[in-house]
Amino acid sequence: MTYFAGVDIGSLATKCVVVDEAGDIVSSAIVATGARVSAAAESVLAAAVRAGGFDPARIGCTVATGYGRKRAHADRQVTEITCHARGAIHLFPGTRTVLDIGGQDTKAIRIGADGGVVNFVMNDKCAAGTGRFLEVMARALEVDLEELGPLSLQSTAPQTISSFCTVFGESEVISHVANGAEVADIARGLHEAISHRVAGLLKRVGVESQLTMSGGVSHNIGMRSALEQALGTSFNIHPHAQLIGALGASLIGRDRFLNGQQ
Amino acid sequence: MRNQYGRLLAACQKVTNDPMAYVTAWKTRTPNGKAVGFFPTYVPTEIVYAVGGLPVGLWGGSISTGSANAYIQQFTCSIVRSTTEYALEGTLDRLDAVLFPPICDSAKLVGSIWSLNLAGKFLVDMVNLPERLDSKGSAPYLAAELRRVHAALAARFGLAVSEDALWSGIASADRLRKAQQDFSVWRSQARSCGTNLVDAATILRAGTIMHVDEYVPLLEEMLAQPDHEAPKPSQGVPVALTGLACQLPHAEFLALFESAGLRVIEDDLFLGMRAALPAATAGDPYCAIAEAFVNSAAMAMRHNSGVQRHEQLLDRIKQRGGKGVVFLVPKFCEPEWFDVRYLQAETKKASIPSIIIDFEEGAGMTGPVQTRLEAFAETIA
Repeated sequence: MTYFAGVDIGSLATKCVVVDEAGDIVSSAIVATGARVSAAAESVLAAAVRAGGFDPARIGCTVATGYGRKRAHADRQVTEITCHARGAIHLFPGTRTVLDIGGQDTKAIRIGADGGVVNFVMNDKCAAGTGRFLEVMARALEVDLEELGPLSLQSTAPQTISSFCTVFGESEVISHVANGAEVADIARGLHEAISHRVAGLLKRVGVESQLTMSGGVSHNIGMRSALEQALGTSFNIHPHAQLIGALGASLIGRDRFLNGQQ
Repeated sequence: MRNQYGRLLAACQKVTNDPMAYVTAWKTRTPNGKAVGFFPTYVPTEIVYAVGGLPVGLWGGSISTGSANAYIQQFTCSIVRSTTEYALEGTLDRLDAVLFPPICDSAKLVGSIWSLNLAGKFLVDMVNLPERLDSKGSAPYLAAELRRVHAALAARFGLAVSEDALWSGIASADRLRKAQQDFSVWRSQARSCGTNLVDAATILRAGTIMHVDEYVPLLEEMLAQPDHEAPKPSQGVPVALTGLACQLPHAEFLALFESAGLRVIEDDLFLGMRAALPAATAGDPYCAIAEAFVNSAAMAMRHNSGVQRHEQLLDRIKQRGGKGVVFLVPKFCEPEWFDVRYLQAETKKASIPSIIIDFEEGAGMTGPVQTRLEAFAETIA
């Protein structure tokens, strides 16, 4: 059996997915990226190999994606746009729009029935609307990041967060706290602020059903709620949403290998 | 044979790395020679040659604009701030005059600021080009304006206005444009040798600084060699690039195209200076220049209902085998941003994929741009 590895080097987390010749997931791993991107890529691949219990020499192709892809030892580098599209449509074949909210950027991707990318938009100028924004705000509210989403769902009177800038947004949050606003209401306001920004991004590429969300922020139920409310539609979210980029990369490697392109 | 390309590139790099050093050297070896700076996208260089001058394109650069920010707000295109910074800090003091075409509100603004604050250093004049090129009055109006500019420069430099000298200037400007147009065609053709986008931008930019009698022979010599060993052209996906008529991205930014797997087969780098048709060779020389201008390539800064920009773009893409378009647009450039949506709609109708990327003169964060260009290449390959 030959295996195919996809390594997605994100700004905060590096992910690896290994699939077999049938395209089924054999193993996966996630490590913190840190400052040493190459080391993170090697480490996550080794972890996925250990988890899968197979000989690494059985890996026929490794594809790297993500912002650090050029610094990973891989057979090929493919952008995360293409990889997220491939991974999303593999898990949800009806996917036509992918939303990836990552650690430091957000991507909206339209895909065709064949899984090919039709259009895409990235927000890469500012951290507002990304996982980093939520991290900063969680710290300002003195709650764990994992609690922020569930907390937001307890809101009864969401506070408006009007600043687009993460730094000014943090100041706004601190003001709300000082004024005695409920933390749940501030948390909901934050999620709604992100959802409005992200909705604009999605509308630029054109929203076509089905929508699939990928990236670590997908697991934030508060974010899902705010986005579905803003867009008036639901999202497909896989339990391994954070691995979709790496999955797509592994499948691209598999496709190329089996087509004799490797 | 490698020498022709290498010699051309080395000469152009030297000039573009320090344009004012070239200007100083040229003035030293040219008695009474006058250096006339010009703001993008086009001025009638024929007139500059006619007064024995050297046209010097002011294409901005990556410079911190602390002084210029006192005159010009942040939310304008970077070139108006960078060129103003160069002027304020004295880099442009070797110029004898500067001409501004009113291509947009920002250009008019900066021309006015220079008129008010820098007129002591050099003559500052607006060349009031018509924005509307398809009116019967456009060419006669421009001809009259050209007479005025010629008279103003001649008076400033203590010269008589000479129509013979202007005909000679027309011949020089046409010669330069032809050489640059031939270079553009050569670049677009797939063959065993070619050039990359960074080198091409350097070579074209040098043509707006070097004297035509020095620059054109170097370029013609390189183009004349059938087997010369210029760098291998990129094997990337062929795309057109538009939006660059006025400003130039940093070299590091331009290099992203080839590294992303794209090959630029058509662009509007310095289009304003290289796209005019050859002027007539008889009759009134001012009318000849004006007619050539009003019939020149469509650009964002000009309106000509008879020459649609999208038709020219689609035509060029088809002729040169392009598979997509990159709209590379300067931030805050109103004329280009007005056009880009219409152009994108037209390219979409023609089933040509496109992507829009904005930029400023500094390199900025190139990683995200690289990702977008690579993703675009993956999409259209």
